[in-house]
Amino acid sequence: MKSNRQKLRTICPYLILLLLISFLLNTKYNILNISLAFAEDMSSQNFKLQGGDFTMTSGSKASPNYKLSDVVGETAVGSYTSKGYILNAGYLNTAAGSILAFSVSPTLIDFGSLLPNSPVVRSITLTIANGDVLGYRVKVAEDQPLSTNLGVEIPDTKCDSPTQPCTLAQGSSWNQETSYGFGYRMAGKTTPSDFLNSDYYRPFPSKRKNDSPALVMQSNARKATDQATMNLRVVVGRSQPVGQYHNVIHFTALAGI
Amino acid sequence: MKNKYPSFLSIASAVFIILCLVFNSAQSANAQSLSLSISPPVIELIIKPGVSVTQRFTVVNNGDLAIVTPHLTGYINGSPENPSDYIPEPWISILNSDFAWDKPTLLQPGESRQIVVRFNPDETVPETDYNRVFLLTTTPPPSAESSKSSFSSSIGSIMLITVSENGVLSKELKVTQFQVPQILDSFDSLEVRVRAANIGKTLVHTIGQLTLSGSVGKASYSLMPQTLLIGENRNLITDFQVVSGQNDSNASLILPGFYLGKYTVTLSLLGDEGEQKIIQNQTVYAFPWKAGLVCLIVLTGLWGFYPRKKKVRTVKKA
Repeated sequence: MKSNRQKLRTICPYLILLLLISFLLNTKYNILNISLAFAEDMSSQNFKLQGGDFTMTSGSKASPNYKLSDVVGETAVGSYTSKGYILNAGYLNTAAGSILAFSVSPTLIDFGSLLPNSPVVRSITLTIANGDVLGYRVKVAEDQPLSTNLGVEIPDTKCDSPTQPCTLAQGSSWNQETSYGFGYRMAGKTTPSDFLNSDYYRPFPSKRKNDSPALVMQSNARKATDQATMNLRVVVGRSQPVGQYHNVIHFTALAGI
Repeated sequence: MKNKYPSFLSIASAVFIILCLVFNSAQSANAQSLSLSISPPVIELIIKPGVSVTQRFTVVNNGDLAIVTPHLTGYINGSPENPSDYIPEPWISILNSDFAWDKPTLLQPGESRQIVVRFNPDETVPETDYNRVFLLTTTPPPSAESSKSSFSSSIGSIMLITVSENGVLSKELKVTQFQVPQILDSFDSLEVRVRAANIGKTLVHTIGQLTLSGSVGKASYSLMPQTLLIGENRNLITDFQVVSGQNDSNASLILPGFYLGKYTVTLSLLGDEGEQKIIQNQTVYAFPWKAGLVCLIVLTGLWGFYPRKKKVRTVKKA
């Protein structure tokens, strides 16, 4: 008995140390993961501002006598008449040197084995940086509802309330395990405000149904670097046929004008 | 007596190394991301038929290996969309040998590529605006043996192209809404809504400001420069509104404060750097009417209550 207690006393510090290091590394790892994503977007040498030079061979075939630097920002009609073009990269050259960067991480969500009445929630992170242009917009659409190769579908969610279902543009509460479907919610500074609580979801617009993509991030600010989290939730019922369901969710990021 | 257990330090080191290895391998697996950037994100081109101009776009893959496909699409309601009858303009072409419209190309992690797009409308191209998007779309990862959603992304550069023989197309800007409350409670925020429409034949740039002047002072708020496309009718937003982070609001300006008396809100809107100037005024009268109403109700109640009480006393005395 005594020797076992001694063994336990000896092992205890190691276990505590192990837990401590695991915790620290895990925390650090997560932080590093986020900062690395930023670093990739913002501090890569590829992101150096290329101000003022819109790198055109501006009419070299049609107007070989003009220097490229003459073109940028010119608005004079007289110059247009002689050269035949005016090329600006953005209003008042605000886009000069600007870069629009967008990232989605991870690239794939595995829902694992879908069990009846057991909601599965997974999350992804969206990051956007817009430089000097006036804001940005990020929209989303799925190619189809989660479907098997045989065409069996998990329907897009209508959320809990049959009288006030969630729509493509309006989220509503979805936390019952018997409300089946597939949907998403957004969280972040520049995401739509209709995701009032953590259980508010919307269905994805579907390209197969010719739905218009839904706006999920929007800003009117310049020099914005914003991040948002998208949670995907899927719940199936007992009558849902067994199979491997899949779809493609497509994001589109454009600068504001 | 010799300790049969390894030293604390050696085990701690071993644990640390193992955890580092575990976490490093996890990191590389978890770091899978789609991450593309494009520069410039917006271009504006006014071009004469028969003239040729090229623009270089820089695309950088900051994520994992990606298959990207360049597309030429329309730009409708702020989105890259193609009407069913849309046929990409043959006079907008890619000059690169390794890139072509609708042809997938591999981008290595960290790779930067330059894509040169040429615009050369011939004399038969109608004079008007062509709002297009140079769109780069990634191919989603292949299917796995489980239920899953995979992601793809598109990032684009908006190309606002005006084909014009003489560079002069009719530009006309109209204020379709300039709304302020006529009567404002002193403690409410002042909300101003401004919408402008482009009713001309080419895109218009707008700048301007909203000025609030009262008996004690004056404050100006700049309107964010915006580009209105043909037929577009859009909210104009002030810098103040953007900084305050009220993105969802349709208001151009929401100004909290205490207001008392007469105020004038002046809209000065400039189209295309002053070629067109619109100035409009609205008057606001502010007073604490909500508090006044409450006081009035309370006083009325007291007035009604007081005589009855007096009557009761009289009865007792009798």
